[in-house]
Amino acid sequence: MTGPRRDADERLRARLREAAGAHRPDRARILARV
Amino acid sequence: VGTAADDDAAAEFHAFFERHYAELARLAHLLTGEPDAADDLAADALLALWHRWDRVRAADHPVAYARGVVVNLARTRVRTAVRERRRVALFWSQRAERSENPDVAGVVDVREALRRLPFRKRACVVLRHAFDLSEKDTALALGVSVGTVKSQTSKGVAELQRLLGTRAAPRAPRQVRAAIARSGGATGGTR
Repeated sequence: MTGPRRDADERLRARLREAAGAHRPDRARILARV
Repeated sequence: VGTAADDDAAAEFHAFFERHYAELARLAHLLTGEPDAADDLAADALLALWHRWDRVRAADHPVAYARGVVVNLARTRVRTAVRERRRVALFWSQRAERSENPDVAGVVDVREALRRLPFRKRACVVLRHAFDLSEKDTALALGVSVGTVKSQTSKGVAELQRLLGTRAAPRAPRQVRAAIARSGGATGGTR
């Protein structure tokens, strides 16, 4: 993998991880349904 | 009347819940793009797990099983939403056409871009890169081969990069670079 492509992929990974972490699950809501 | 074994099972499930509910809800969120629905979907997956907890707890990878349930529920939800959108599009065909093909790089955020990927590619990209799962664990959660995970992830990443406008610029062919070097590396044209 070339440098620029590796950098682009790393940036994408960071954005995906950030998007995943942005969701704050409502524990009480989930627990109430289980 | 509850038994000690039932209590043990309940305690184990509770521990599993605490360890994994957040990850499962986040996975559901990235797969569906809907924050509220994601929590309900994670709850439904956990409930399904509890109903067959005896089998799940005996499995080698209970969390992989849980992720698989979330993926299946999310797939069903996404398909239902797509069908609904198509129904609406019958009435608003022109508007729908515009929203189905908004292929404009750089103006969408990563969640919006994810929603435009076909579901399997989206699931591969999310599990591999948002949750750092190995190819093997991703394959296990999705019930597909490692080869499928590799190809779908690679294609999914390329598509995401294109949608986001973040793909690395392709290098010019060697002959072109050599010609530029010979001409002193000038890039300012005279047009």
